[in-house]
Amino acid sequence: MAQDLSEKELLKMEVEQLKKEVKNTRVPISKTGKEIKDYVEAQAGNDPLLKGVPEDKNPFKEKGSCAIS
Amino acid sequence: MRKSRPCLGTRRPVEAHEFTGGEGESTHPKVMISSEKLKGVGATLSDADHMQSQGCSVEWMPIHGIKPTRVCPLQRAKKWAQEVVIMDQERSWPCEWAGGSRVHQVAERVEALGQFVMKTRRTLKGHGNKVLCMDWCKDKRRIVSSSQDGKVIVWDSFTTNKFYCRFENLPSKSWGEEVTVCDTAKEKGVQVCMNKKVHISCSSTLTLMLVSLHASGLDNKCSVYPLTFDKNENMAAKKKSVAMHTNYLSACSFTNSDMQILTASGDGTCALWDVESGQLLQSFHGHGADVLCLDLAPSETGNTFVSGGCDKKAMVWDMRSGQCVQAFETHESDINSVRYYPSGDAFASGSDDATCRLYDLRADREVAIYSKESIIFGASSVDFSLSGRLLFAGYNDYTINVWDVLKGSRVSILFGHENRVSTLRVSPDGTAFCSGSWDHTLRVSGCVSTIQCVRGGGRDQPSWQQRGQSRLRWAGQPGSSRFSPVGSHGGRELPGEVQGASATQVFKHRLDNCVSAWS
Repeated sequence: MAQDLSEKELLKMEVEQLKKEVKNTRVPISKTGKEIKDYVEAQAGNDPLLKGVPEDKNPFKEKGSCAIS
Repeated sequence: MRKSRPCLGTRRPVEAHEFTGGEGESTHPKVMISSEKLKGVGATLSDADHMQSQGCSVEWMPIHGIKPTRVCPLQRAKKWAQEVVIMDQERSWPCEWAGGSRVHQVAERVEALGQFVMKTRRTLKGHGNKVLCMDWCKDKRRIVSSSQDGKVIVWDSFTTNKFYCRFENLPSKSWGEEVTVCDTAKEKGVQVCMNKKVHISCSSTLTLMLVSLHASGLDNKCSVYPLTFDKNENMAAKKKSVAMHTNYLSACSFTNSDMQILTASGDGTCALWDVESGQLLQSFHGHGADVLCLDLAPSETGNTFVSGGCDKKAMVWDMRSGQCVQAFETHESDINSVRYYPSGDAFASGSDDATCRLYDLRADREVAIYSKESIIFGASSVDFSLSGRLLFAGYNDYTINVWDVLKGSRVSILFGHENRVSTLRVSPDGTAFCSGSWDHTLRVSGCVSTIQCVRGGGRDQPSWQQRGQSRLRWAGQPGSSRFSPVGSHGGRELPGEVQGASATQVFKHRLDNCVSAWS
């Protein structure tokens, strides 16, 4: 259906959309960026891919020849 | 200033439009007539009156220079609207603009991660053709994948066994019994459709959703297959057709309630369907070309989703009203994959222009680009780690790059696949991620857990501390052995000797007197 529309109609659609978006409220990045950073720092402790998982708890560990004493 | 890259894999021919911004004033403004009937330039006032009386739209525009060029008012209106948005931001927060508009500038004080080590833990072999799509089951252990030969395989990612069997909240200790129910050697998966591509999404009740991607009339359907059956039953018979589009389906997802399905299609629309009745609840129009991917907002009450398409746009939709809430057009080529940030306030996209970008929804702009001069192949799929600090992206050059979301730098690169990476998902509990590739395999990878070390002591007596890890002993290998470490320190890593059969194996790092041990 998008392929059926002519370039003119597609552009009209885009302009309509942009006209709507002009009215959106925007928050400065100094605020939202900080919130993203805070979120990451709060969650970082729970992130196994970030902190690593101790081998005895890691379900994906290889069955190697080493033993944990 | 980024150099322009070749657009690999653009699916729709793009027509060039001559466009002038029309900046600057000329002493002799001329009339540009832009209507379908008469694309004339340099016309006179009387011509303009004539055209207006005919019902054509006429626009006064100053022309820069001698040679006039054709201008489309719609293009100009679009550019105007985009500039208004930028000016709005400039006017309201001038210091914001000067300070920069990238998240890594906000995150300057955040500690850098250093180089990570990612390692493939499991290789899942069994597909006979390119792996196209995969998803983790909500039990964080099973993986369902589909390949180009039309087969779907359910894997146990811990043991790499393949199977399908009854999933009815059985306690984990009965895993052994389940595996013997079906003969894993013979069961190579379920044949759902012959030679057709299939897209996977797992619901929380473990029903599979399979979408046939083959655009041949009746096949543009989305079907839901229940996973609770025994091997004697014909899975195809239990399927339920839910969605139908006029062109191929590119992506699908269960909604939070599992009662509805969201689909994205090559016809440029997305649609919301009810599973039980198969009824179309809402359709989403706005993309100018094929929609390639979609992702639902993570919150329980959320009712927005983001879609990315061949028109280089990522659009955020309200599911209830069917309206596009925000649109972002900064990519230079098709967007192959979109994924929401865990907090729901942002999303990342991976594209054929070899970059991944982060868009902040509340700031309504792109806030980070993850790219490198050396990466020239498109990113096919992206996903975040649990905290949102890491962005995993699979590329068409067979690698997986791991990006630090806050800093914008690459922290790791994972090799191993022998063909392009087509799909990548982080497990629901964040312990590992699985990547599927055209080399017929899936790889479950995680980060290598390292013991942190500190500098200290003299050269002969390093002191060190470990981080919550017991001491290791290599069974059956007393004495010294070669050990090639990869770890994050200040200096270069050098291979060294691991000595002694003592309970603690250490490797001494010569450059900065740090020691580390690896599990």
